[in-house]
Amino acid sequence: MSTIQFSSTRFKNILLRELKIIKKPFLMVALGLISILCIPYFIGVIFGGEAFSLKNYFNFESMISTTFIVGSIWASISFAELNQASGKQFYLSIPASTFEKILSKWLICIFLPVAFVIIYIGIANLITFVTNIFIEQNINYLWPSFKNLSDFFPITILVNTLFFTVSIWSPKYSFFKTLFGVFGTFILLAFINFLFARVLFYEHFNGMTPNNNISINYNPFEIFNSNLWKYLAGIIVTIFLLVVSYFKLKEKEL
Amino acid sequence: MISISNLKFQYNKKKVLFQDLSLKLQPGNIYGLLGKNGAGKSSLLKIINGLLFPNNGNVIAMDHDVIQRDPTYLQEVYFVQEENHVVNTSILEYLYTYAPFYPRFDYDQFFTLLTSFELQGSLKMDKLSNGQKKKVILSFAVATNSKILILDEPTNGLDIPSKSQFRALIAEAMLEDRIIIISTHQVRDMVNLIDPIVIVEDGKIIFNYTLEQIAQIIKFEHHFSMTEPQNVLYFERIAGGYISLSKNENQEYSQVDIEILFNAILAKKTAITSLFENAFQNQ
Repeated sequence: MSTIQFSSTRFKNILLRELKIIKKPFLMVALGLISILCIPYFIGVIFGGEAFSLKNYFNFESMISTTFIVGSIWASISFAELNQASGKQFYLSIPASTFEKILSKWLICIFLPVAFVIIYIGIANLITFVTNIFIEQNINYLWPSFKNLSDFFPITILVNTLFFTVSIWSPKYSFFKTLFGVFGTFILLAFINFLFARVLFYEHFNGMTPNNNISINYNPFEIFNSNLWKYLAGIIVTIFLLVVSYFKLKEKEL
Repeated sequence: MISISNLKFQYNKKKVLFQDLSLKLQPGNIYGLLGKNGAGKSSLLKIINGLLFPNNGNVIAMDHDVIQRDPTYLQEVYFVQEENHVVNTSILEYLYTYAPFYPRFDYDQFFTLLTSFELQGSLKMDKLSNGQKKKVILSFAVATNSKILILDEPTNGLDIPSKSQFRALIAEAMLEDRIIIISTHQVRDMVNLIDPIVIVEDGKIIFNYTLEQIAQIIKFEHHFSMTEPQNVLYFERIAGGYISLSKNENQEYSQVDIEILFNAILAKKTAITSLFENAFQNQ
């Protein structure tokens, strides 16, 4: 009979292994990306003068968009070693349970965006501090509110878990597969939505084109407008994706 | 003990690799797993490690159903692959990352073996030659003190002195409660090491006998003449004459030549295996 096995010692070992593997490449990518972001800033500082708005360069929106990109890329390469036969054999042979392996990789995958945000805020504020001193400006520091972060991180966790699950399913090019999969699903849902509308509200259509006066105020997902339902739905989907990941890894063979 | 019963395994619907394969492997032995290319030696080892799942039948090792990949089983089995997965770390970093997974890991033994292979812990794993990587992994495998050690083509990439060191290493690593399985095509590298000999052919184990049993049934003879040997089961041309294999009717014990035995079994399967089956049918 198969049961979920957990040992704190083994979990510590597998978590440390994941941290050792990810530490160096993560710092390189994070610092590299932030450095690339800094280039237009410094060009603006040196050549832009008044025309270049320094005040809002390192803002919350640019932080969350870069964190999304970094987080989803890292999540989608969580199981990159399963891509090669020797790597797959090596990983599957590590004496840790499937649950411990999934949990360790997933924790890393949701911890990385937090680490990235901390690095981003640190570097952005350091640059702002230096700029304020040297060019005597009063640029705002980047200090996101708790509410902003508490709205952002649950979405990041959900999105990263989706990329994470696909990376077990199909480790090769999993980032693009997830993007295309999500895009394809939205297109399919939109098409199904259109078909239903065409059948249910046929009197409002001329052929395949809706009449201009059509106005349907019906939102079946209205219930999810409250935060509680949003969080609950997010948690359920995340747990579902993790359960799928667990069984997918458990049934992995060479 | 490893007990494989009625194993059926296929990669695809068209080709069945193992059909009704049964095998028992006892502790205290270094099994030599032989077979032609594609006979399924590596697949069998991967099944024992829980890396491939059988379509039918059971594989029980140390009281564990291997397909569960129970961590308490995985810490008792170490698989040295033919092509090792090497990470971008130093040997020491590799050691301190993976050794804690094995409860009986012997750090002193690892460093002793590493030194005997003339390697230092500070070396980067990805900068080592294939032979050096194999030496690190073999040292690590032995130092895990796992109950089951699986080696797939372990001497590939090793130079001549390293092959001797390898034989000494494995002979020393052999413990009463340990099962070592070596799959190889380089049978000459395994002389005085592997015993019993297990041969996989046509999806089944067609031969599984100790060297003592083989020497009891079969006689190996060198003929230093150009005339083909007569009244023998099998012979092969060698420099300066022939080597033959015949029924040992006078209880004359000879040194077993594993390569000749393997070739003979493939060429005269029924004639040779029936000799053993008749002699050891009650065992």
